[in-house]
Amino acid sequence: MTTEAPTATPTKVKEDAQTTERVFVPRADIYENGSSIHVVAEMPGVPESAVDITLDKNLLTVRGTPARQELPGANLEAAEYREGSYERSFTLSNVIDRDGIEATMRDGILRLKMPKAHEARARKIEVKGL
Amino acid sequence: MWPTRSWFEEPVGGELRRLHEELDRALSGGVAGRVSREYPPVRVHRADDGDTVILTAELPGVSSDSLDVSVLDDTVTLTGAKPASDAFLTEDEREHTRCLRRECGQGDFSRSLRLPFRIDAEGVNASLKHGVLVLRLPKAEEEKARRIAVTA
Repeated sequence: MTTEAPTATPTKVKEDAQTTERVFVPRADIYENGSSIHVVAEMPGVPESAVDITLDKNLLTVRGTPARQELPGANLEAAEYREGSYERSFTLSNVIDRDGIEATMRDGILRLKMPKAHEARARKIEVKGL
Repeated sequence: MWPTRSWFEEPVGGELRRLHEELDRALSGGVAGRVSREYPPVRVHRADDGDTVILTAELPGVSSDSLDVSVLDDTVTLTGAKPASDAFLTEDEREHTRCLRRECGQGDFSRSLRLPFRIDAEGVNASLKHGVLVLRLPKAEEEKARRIAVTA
């Protein structure tokens, strides 16, 4: 069976000096249509309650902390991925309606919907005959 | 005895592979390349008593409906499909949508892992939560070490 293996491992960007907690940049796909921009980001292990979204001027930052995987009495033997939290920032153009930003989390996938401000939407101009 | 390197058909260290991936990513300008590797990546744990292996795997976007776990003798196989990320948009949102950036992978996957013991298929427990699979694989009863009473 031939399989097209999807790649889903986040890239390590920085390591907090104080703790051993690692911070990864989550992989993201970005879509655009006439009315909104959508970001879909992979943050496996992160429950909806542990997503933090901040908007500082034009900088939208998403953070996610995975639920601790408690495996009492278990010793790690081999690891192909590392655990840690996620953080990524996006610079928004001023065409986004900031108040309308929506975020949902499902199966470890964050979905951000960012509606375009009304004046930025493509408008159909009617041509009227005289 | 607990073998330390016999978990995978290809016992290459994950760290090294990750380094290669990061290099790949850096060289391709941050665009996720089609790096050929086993999917999903796993972490392997052993219970203190040595009679259970706990596998965890990151499967973001994969629902329990689209994941199949099967066990045969000493091998566990994970088969499933990772949807394209636009599956997370509503039908309306998908219409007339163009993709500006694509980093997330998609497609069918199948991965088999061999354990150093026969698995008790009845005792397997699998849970998929927030895109992380936790799989408990107990050793088959007939393979467990037994304490033999020594009579005088």
